[in-house]
Amino acid sequence: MATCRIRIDFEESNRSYTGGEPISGKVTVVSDNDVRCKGLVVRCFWATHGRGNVTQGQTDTAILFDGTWISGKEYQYPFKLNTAAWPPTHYGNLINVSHFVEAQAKLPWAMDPKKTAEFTVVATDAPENSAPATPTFNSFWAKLILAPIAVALLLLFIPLLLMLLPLIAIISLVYWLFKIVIPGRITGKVQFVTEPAVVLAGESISGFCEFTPKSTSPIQGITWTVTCTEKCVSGSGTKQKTHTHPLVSQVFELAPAGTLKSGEQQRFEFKFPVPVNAHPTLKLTHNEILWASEFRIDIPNWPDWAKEIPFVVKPSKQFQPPQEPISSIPSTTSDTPASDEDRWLTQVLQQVLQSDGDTERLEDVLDAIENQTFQVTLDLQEESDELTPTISGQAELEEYGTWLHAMDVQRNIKVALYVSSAAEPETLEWRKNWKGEVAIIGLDSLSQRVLMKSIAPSR
Amino acid sequence: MQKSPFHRYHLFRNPFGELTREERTNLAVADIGPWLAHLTNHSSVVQFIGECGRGKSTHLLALAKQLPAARFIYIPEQGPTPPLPDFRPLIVDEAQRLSNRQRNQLARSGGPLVLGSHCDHTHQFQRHGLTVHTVLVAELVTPSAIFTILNHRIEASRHQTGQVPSISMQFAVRLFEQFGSDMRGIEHYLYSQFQAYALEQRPWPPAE
Repeated sequence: MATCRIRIDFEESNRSYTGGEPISGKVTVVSDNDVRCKGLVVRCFWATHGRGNVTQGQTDTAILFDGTWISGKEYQYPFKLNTAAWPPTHYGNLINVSHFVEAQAKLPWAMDPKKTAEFTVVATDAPENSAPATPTFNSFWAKLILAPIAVALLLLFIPLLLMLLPLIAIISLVYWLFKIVIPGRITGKVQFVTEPAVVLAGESISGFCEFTPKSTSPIQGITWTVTCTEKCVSGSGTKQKTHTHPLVSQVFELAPAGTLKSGEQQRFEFKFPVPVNAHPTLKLTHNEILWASEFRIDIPNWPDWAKEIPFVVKPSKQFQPPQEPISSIPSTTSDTPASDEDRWLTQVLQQVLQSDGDTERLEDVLDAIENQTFQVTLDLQEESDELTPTISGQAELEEYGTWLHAMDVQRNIKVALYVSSAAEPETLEWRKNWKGEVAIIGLDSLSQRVLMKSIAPSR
Repeated sequence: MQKSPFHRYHLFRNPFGELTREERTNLAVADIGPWLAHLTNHSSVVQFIGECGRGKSTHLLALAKQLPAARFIYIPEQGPTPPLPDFRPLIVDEAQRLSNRQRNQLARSGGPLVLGSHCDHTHQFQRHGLTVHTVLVAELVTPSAIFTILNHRIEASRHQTGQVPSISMQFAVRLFEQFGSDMRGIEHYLYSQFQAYALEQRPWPPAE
């Protein structure tokens, strides 16, 4: 039986491609015997892989050769294929999206040997609804055919609807009571607005919430939470299962526990800078990445007032495919000129983030700043119990310290701050504009957080 | 450039994720020789019985691959049942979803038939003069089978030449002790574990 060895080499290896950009390279074939090839087919495609059912799409294909290969001779065939404009490469927890070039030799009376090579695609735009195109029925004839079917189905289901109507009414009533009427007796009418509905990565989503409480009541707090969730479906029928995993869950405490006074108007404004390298909204069959924000008034012993508004994140148009690992630090937004110390810290953080996936480079960067400390201003968030970061480098941490989620708002980067058990208890509480001296001790690749160790709070 | 977290293991994906039906067929590790022999007989029915995730469909797919002339039909949970052809050999997945009348219709058309089901239909088919061979798929899941199936899946996710991770027999035994014959449970557990290790760029599998 003839055996063929196939190799794929990209013209520019180790680079990212902008969605839709052509990719070129060559396919090399060596056969052990003289063999007739009915077609050396090369194709470019993307596929999801992970916990959800596989979704895939092919973008371009070409037949590079049809003929006979002589034993032991090396043949090379250049190719140029269009890459898919959407979806971009993504490695998450439940969902991964990869782009491939595959070369397969069609051999008679033998297994068709094939080789696949992966490359990275960065999107600079997204489809209007971030979903694959679905067939629409806009034509006159389609409507003419579908209309009687719809009427017939409606007539068929009217008796069933009439039977189910009381049950539907009861469920709706309970929902309305618990979600709107009961919380509304305390909060009054709540106006919750966020904009824009479609935001580009690197820009901000903002909003406000306004209400005048109808009655005086204690509250546990008021929060605004921004989430980005991977959602996928595996199996079908009774075996179908939906899986979710939060990629981002950032809670902003707008008001601490206290009392809402009757008739006293409340207004909260909020803003979330979407990181420039944020996962864009993805709506593929069985595999989705969804962004949303939720406003919640936590009322003790009473149903909470809560409302979630989804929004779409599109890739930044200015975001060029990086030849180096992505830096998630946008230019500083402060009007005041940055000091030398600030600029140095920005540079160091950039170096740390760009070392993602390159252990040697990260260790070089950490070695270079081993004995240095930095003045930082962070928004401290809750204790980080979801994930204890792994430290690379020489940092020594005591066993009983605590990891806090934190955010360098000015530079828009996520931080995991290590606080020793000897720190003042108030350091461990949620706080904005925490100022302190820190050492930079590593990078948590999983959640793209820079690891810092608190040396001393300066408050 | 965004690097694949799987390339360091010489893999292009997490080997324990969902597969396409075509991949599942190609990857089916099942010793179907004994059942294949029964299917030359026109009065034979081979039924694979077991709970979800035990390998019924895998065995049916493996048989379908060896019987290119056979027709394969899947009975959906909802919606209309596909027409039951008189064509034989016929492979029917999720046969418990057929009504009694439909199963009788199948039996009247004779064998060879292959069924995947949660329930035992021996008596119903015997009444029509057919010989029923029953395979309890849970009994086929052994540490040795787990070892073979999982290493096969890892190899099928290979990205390039080089050493890929492997499941040791001790690890397979531990998985069997923890999950029994629940192959889907094993896959889900390993998916989560491997994904976490890959994203953290740590060696996998963890040390014994």
